[in-house]
Amino acid sequence: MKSRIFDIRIPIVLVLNVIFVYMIAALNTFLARYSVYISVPALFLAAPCVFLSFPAAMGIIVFTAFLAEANTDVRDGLTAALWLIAGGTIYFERFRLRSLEGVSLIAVFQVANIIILGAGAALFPIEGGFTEAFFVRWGADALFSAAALFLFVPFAIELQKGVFTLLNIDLNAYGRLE
Amino acid sequence: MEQKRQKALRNVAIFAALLLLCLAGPAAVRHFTGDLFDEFKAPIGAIPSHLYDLEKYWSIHANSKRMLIEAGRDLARLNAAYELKLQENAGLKSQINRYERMMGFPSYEKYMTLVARVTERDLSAWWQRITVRRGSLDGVKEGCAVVFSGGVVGRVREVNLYTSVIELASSRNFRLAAHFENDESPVIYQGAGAITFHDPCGQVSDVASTLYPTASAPLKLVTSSLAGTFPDGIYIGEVRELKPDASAIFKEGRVFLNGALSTLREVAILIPIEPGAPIPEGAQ
Repeated sequence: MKSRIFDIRIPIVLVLNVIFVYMIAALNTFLARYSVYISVPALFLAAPCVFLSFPAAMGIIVFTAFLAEANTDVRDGLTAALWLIAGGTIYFERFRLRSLEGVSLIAVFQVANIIILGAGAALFPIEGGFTEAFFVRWGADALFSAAALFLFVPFAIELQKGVFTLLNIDLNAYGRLE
Repeated sequence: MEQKRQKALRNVAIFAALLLLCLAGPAAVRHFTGDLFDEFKAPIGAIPSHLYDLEKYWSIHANSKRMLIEAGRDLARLNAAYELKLQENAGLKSQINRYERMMGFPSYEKYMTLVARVTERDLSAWWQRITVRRGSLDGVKEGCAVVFSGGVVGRVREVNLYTSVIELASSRNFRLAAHFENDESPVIYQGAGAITFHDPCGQVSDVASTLYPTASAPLKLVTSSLAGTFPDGIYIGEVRELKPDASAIFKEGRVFLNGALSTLREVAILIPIEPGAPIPEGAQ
C-alpha cells in the first residue's frame, strides 16, 4: 500500500526557482548598460519538469511565471499560460532527460526557450509594433539568452541535485515519495 | 493499467484547468494575482539597491579622518556658495509670486521633486523601463515626469505601494512635445529603443526645414511646456542630422539620448503640487 507524504522537493524547487528569477533580474539590471537582455524562461521550467510530479511542476511554473511577469505590460496570466504549455510539453517528453545528461538537457531547453521567445514576440504587446529595430534587438537578445542558457541549465539542475543530495532526498524523477 | 490511465487523465485535467484559469480567469482575479505578485516581488527586488547603499556607506566609512576633514571643508565651501544661490533664488521666487498676484497668473511653481533609487532595469526588445524604490505611499502618481542630472528619464507608468515602474524616454511608447534650444517651434519626440551595444536613442519629427544640425554643431532638444507633464527646457538629447520626411515639408532625425540613461542609480520624480495637499516625506 502506498503512503503519500509531503514531497520536500516542492518547496526546494520553488525557492530555487524564485532565487533564479531575482538572479536573472539582477543580471539584466547589470547588462542594461550594454543594451543586452537575457530572457531564459526555459530555465524556470527545467527543475520542476525534471524532478517533480505533474501537478507540483505545473503549480511551480505558474507561480514563477506570475513572479517573472509581475512588472511587465503583458496581460496577467498570459505568460503563465505560455510557460504552462511549454512546461507541459517538456514534462511529457521528460523520459529523454532521465539520465540528466548535459547535452540532452541543453538541447531540449534551448528549443523550448527559443519557441517561448518566438511566441512572446508574436503574442505579447510590443512598444511601437513590429519594426526592423525590434527584430534586430530581439535576435541579438535571443542569441545572448541561448548562450546564457548553455551555462545556466546544467548549473540549475546540478544545483538542485546538490541540494537534494545534501538533504538526503531521494532523486526519484517521478517526484513522489512513496 | 487502469491506474496509469487515471493518472494521465488527472494530469490532463489539471493542465487544462490551470491553462483555462490563466487565460480565461475573471479579470478581477487575474489583476488581483498580478498586483499580489507585484507587491511580493518588490521588497526582495530592492535588496541589490539596498546592498549598493550599504556598500557606499562602508566605502565612505573606510575613509581616513584626514580625507573626511578635507571633504567636509570642500563641502562647507560649496554650501556657502549654494547658500548665496538659495538667497538669490528665494528673492527671485518672491518676485515671481508678486508678479503672479499682480497679473492674476496661475502659480509658476508646479512640481516638487522626490529622489528615488533605481532597483531594477528592464531594457529589452519589448520595453524600456526601470523600477524605483518609491511608490504610492510616497505620493508618486501615474504619469509623473522623471528627470535626472542629465535630463529627461521618462514617465511613471505603474505605481505600486513601495515601488514604481518608469517608462524610459527611449521607450517606443514615450512620446512628447518638445522644441530645440533657442527655437520655440514645437516638434514631436518619440523613443526608438536601444540596439545591442548602443546607447538608447529616439526620433524627432515635424522639425522646421530651416534647421541644419551637424555632428560638430548638434542641436539640443529640450522639453516643451506644451507636453504638460514636463517643465519647459529639460534636456532630452541631441540631434546631429535631419532629413526631409515623407511629406518633404518637415524634417525628421535621430535623437542621441544621454548614455547614462541605461546606468541610472538615482532619479528625481516631479510630483505636481496640488494646493492644500500634504508634501510627501523626502520631497523638496
